[in-house]
Amino acid sequence: MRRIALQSLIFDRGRLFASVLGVAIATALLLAQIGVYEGMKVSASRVINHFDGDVWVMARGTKVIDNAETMSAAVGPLIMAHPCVRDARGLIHAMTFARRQDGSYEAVVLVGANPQGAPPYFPWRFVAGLPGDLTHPLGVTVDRSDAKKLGLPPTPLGATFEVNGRNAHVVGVTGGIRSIMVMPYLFTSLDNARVILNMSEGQVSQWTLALTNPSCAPDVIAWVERHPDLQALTAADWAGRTEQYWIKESGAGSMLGLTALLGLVVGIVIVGQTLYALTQQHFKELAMLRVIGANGRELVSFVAWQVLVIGLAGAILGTGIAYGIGVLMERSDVEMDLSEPVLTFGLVAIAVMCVVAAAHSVRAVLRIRGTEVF
Amino acid sequence: METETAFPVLARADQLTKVYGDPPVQNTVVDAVTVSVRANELTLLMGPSGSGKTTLLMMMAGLVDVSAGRVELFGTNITGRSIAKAPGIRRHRLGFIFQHYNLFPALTALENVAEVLRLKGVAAADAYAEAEKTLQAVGLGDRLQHRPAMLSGGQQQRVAIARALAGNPALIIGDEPTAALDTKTGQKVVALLKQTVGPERGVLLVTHDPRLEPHADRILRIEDGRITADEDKHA
Repeated sequence: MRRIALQSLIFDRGRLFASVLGVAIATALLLAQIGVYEGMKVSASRVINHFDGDVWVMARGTKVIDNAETMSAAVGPLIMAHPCVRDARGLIHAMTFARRQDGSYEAVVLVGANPQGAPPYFPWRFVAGLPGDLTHPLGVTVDRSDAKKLGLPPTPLGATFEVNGRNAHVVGVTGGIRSIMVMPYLFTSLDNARVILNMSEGQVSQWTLALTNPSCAPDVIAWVERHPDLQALTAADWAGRTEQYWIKESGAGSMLGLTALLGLVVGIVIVGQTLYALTQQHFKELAMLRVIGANGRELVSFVAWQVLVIGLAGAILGTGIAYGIGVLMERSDVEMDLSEPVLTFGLVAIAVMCVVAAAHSVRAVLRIRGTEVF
Repeated sequence: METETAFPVLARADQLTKVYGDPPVQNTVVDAVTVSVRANELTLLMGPSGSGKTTLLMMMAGLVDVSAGRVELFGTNITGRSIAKAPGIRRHRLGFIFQHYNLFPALTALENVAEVLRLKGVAAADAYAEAEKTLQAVGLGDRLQHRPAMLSGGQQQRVAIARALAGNPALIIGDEPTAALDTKTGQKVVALLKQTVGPERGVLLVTHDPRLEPHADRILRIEDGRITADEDKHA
């Protein structure tokens, strides 16, 4: 039956092309939407996931890392008092403005933290300079993808530009660190960040705590939250909350989900129609096979082989298109995550789509009676 | 009405009845028919349109449930077995020919015969070897790689005959196999079918074409669901 099914499929090139294209478009749409969704999640929680720490402490009511209030210098010694807290590192994460050579302004995210020159590196993905260089007075990093946006030369190392009225010096260049808001990230030391943002000595926007034992986390969180102005979360919870804020509350997640669903529906309709047309076209021949004794399983395999080939060819083509979309999006500052779990999820969804699309044809061949050929 | 011969009975209908519809609106299409189809004979089942000949054929092939009576194929009672329950007999012991050939357009003549043999459980190499031999036997040895669209109607029907003969079934059943062919081609096709008849094989054809009568060993005439004549040409 395999040969009958496949040759019948290949024989009708127009329908084969239409159905493979249908699966390819559905695959590309689905993977692109899931990839962008995952890319948004990664972008949203990128700083949290790269900053070493078991528990994060921030001002009560803070919803997202990008919008945290400044905490007083007194908070540091307070949280260090818990016996489980081995170390506390301050972080400043704030939006401000950079001024280009032409006098116009660009919103930027300034991240201040004491650089970490050993794994886990902070900042990370250095392509020029070293984390330790950020301690130079008003030294900042610029991502190479943002150089043009900030009016800097393509190789910005050594350039000077104005950030919140201060002359910052580019002492490091990172490769591919983007914020969810598509604003350039500028990394610097805590002291430099305070100077640039006019903050007082000891002030930070968040603290990260390294614990002597990660199992202490609930105790430490409860202890911190006894303070009416503070809230604490594990790193995973804080990352999750930040992702949720951007994905769900912004409505971006629903839009991406809806588009992905639309891709699946389009795929089901195109593949379903093509398979059914192919089945209809061979109705008499399939009825003839029924007459000579072919059973339901054998007739279903006629549809199954065709959907398998259409699905595989479409999925391969669609994955290629999705990678192409990823490259284009990379150029337009939108991050698309096509990691293994995303591909697996997307391709399983496409397989389910093909099965659903084939259901109508399977039902039709199972209803074929031999008498219809007479 | 039936004449005894030395050749085995391949199919037997006993008081076979088919009624469509429920009371009070019922239509008796086949009415208490008793007939046998034997090996070594080309039997024609003849009658006008709507006489019940195709329904009788389908019941005798185990394709339609009977309303009353009994059907035996090769000595096995298949009464009450629906299409799904009697595929083994059809797959291995019956060959079918249809008015419209029903060949897969994407397959060559060779593949159309061989792939059906494969469905009957024959290994690929054996199926293709037998298909080639059978196509040569029906005079299509030079058309093995031709698709149906490249063949004339008569050649397509010969491919269908080769498909029916492949696997060496004991009974070939044909439904109006010459209806879509011109007279000359139709005569050739029936002559070919006549050649396939032997001590172990019989042919039963449904037709309303009187030009086929000279080829028949036996003619069953049916009208309004009843056999009105059983003419044994050798009796």
